Amino acid sequence: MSRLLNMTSLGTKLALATVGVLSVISVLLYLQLTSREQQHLISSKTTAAAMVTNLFAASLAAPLDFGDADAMEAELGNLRSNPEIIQAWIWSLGPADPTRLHRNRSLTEEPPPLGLDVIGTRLLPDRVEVARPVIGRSGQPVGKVAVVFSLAAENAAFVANRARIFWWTLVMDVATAFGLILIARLQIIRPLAKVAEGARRLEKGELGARVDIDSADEVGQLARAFNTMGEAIADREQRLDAARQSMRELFDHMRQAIIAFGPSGTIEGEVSKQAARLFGENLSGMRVRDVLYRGAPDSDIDAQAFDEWTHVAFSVRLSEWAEFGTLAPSEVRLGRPGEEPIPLELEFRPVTKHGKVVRVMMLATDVSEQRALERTVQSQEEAHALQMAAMRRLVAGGPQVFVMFVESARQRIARCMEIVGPIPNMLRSGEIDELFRHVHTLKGEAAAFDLRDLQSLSAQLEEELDELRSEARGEGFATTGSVHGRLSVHFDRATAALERGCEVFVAASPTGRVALDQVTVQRSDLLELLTHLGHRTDVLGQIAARLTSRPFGESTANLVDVVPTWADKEGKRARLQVEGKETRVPADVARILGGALTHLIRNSIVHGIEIPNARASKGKSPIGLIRVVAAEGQGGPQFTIEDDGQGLDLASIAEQAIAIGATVGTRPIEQLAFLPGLSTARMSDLAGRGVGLHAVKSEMETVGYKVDVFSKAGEYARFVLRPKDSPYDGNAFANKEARQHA
Amino acid sequence: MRKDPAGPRHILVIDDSEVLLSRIKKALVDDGHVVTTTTQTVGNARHLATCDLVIIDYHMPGINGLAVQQAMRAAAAHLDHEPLFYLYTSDRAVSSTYAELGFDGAFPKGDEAVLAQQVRAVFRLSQIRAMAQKERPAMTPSEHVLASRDRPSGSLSERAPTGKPRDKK
Repeated sequence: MSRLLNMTSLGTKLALATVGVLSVISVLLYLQLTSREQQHLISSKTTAAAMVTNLFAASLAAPLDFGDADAMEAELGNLRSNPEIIQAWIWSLGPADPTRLHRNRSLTEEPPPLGLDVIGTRLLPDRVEVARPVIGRSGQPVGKVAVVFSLAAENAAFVANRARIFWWTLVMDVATAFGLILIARLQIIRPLAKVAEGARRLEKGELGARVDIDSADEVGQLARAFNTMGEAIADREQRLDAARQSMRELFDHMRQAIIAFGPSGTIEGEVSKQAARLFGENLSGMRVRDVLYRGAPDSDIDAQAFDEWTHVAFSVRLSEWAEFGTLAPSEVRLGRPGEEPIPLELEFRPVTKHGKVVRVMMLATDVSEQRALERTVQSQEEAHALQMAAMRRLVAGGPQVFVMFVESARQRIARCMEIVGPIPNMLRSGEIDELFRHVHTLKGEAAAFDLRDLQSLSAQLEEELDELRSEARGEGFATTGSVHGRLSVHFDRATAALERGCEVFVAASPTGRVALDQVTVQRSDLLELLTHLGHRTDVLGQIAARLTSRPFGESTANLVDVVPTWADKEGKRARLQVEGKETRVPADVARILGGALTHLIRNSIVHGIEIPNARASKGKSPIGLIRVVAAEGQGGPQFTIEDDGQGLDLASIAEQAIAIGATVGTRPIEQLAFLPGLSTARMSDLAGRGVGLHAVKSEMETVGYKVDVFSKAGEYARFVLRPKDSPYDGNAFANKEARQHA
Repeated sequence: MRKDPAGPRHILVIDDSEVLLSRIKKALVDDGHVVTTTTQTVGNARHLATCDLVIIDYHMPGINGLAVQQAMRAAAAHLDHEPLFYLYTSDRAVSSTYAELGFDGAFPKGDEAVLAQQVRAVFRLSQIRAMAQKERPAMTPSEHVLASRDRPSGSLSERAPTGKPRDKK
């Protein structure tokens, strides 16, 4: 029943309810009206009967008092003319005939309806019986009358009226039902249908669907609420669309390829552009296993592990997912026909609903470039390791050993090329053996210095020469025709490989290219030679001075590494740039130069170089630069130490000079910096004791050098160490700088 | 690259080539495993007690990997923890019949990086199966039905990582 009601439209239900209610009302109304009509008819009849009976009783008072029977009969006769009276009875209460009954026999033969003792009115379905006392002259009852009135006419009238009431009620019922249904249809059903239609259109995605209802009643309010809701939905949809679009863009611009798969292992929902690029279009519905392990056989253990992982992934408790996630493949090589496989890094994340994993999201990152970079770095590291190994061997054996090797290797290659000749020719067994010996030695020595290229080329040469030697074994000679070209190319390449080895050595050597010209001599022998020569300025003296001199790079070899550490201690960043490493420094100057440079460089770090933030605010690089330049000058080499810091704080120097009791006079303030005990810095590991600059000046003076200082506030501070009689060659520094820029 | 979450595993590799063994060892050690390599085909049973995986070259001069595997499996039969035996061969025909030969699986010979990746997969798979077994009571009967419908026959403990029933000897 309730199902039938649920399936019935609201209009029908309203119509049925209206008809039902109206029917009940009509029946009740009909019953009420007919009842009232009946009562009205009977009441009128009863009243009339009572009046007639009263008159009849009054008219019989005298006949009964006097016992006049004729008169009584006459009165009864009068009643006979009234067709509605069925019976009339008269009882006399006189002594003679106390119960004489006069009956209007013509009316009916039925027995008297009421006893003598009953006075009143009795209503029966077909008649009304009225009994009244007859009062005599003495005021005492002398008799009683009873009249029976027929209700046939009233009943007939009632039947007629009832039919009329029925039809009128029915007409009213139908009219009212029609009116009510019409009103319901116009005011409720139709507007509701409009709202329902609007909801259907909205459901179909027609976000502009609105309902046009103007009424102010509840249906109108419902329509307005619907329209408001529609606007809210449209607004929300727009926001969702925008958010979805943003998400999509984000999704597509992510570096990772993103796909999601369900318990069946098939890809569901959207995939990112990157995923389409890596795995191809139309991924939806494909098995993620087939996407990752394309073409892998069933026995492929990686694919199999992934298969079983996906099976278990949806039944694992969420609390254990973190651990379980580590069992997923972290990397896969995505095979592509005819192309290099793409290495992908994989991550898997659970998508949960009601505490259960419903999907797994896979993020795949193409790490081809990263792997290529790692390979490059690895090969560079290997090359660097080789260089370092070579350097360690060089240092272990002394640079001279390498220099000797280079010399002998050059000679061996030159000799070999001489034997091979510019054009194919005939070689005797002895010449081939000599070639072989040179090449074999070259290979061994190259291996000793980790010169892999030279070693490899020598090995190839050996193989070529081995063939020649086999040819020469029978006849004592062999022609180089078939291998001449290859031998020449290999020797050329060997020469180039040897030069590259030299470059590695020069680059790593603190004294630069001069390392290749060094020979091993006993220092004691040199000093003895100098003692014997005295201060001679002739050629012999100059040669002796040159022999005892040291390359400038030796004095700065250790400083390059420690400058960043010193700067770091001061909360600063700095690097050292050395120029003129090969510049020859006289032995006595070289002995003290390292200490002087250390003082001046530490001084630059403490006083000159600003902290990185301060440098950045001035538009400078956060890393301060300290340049140490050596250049040949008149009377000996000049050394310049310059930093690109804030320059000397002249005011502070002057103040400090006065504070320690120095006489300032007309001296340039910069020169006051060399006063003993003067320092403008707080005391630290690097400076602040007022010793450094004074010590530098004093030390350099012992070898005939003077120290000048130049400064420009906010730009630089420059210390120049030069022979006393030598003019300051500012251009040498500037020229050096210009050359470097060039 | 993610290392094995269960920690380092002990792998025994038997091959006749020292060069190949050194390359394999480097790849697997770099991947976080403890690796023992040997060119000997006898006397390897002492490693079995601590070994998780044995990789055996199939074609070795004078002796074949099958005989080595059979001898070692017989020696391992009484152990609580029986290692997995994997074939290492470039012969596709042989590798496709690893189960018939009594191996638990086969690794293709050639690329050590691929071998390391596949070794990781083998250990992952055994852990996945252990975890799946642990998860089983939590599954509803209907899930059991679904799970058993999707998987090859045989219980997890009875199957080798390759999904084929392990031949208990």
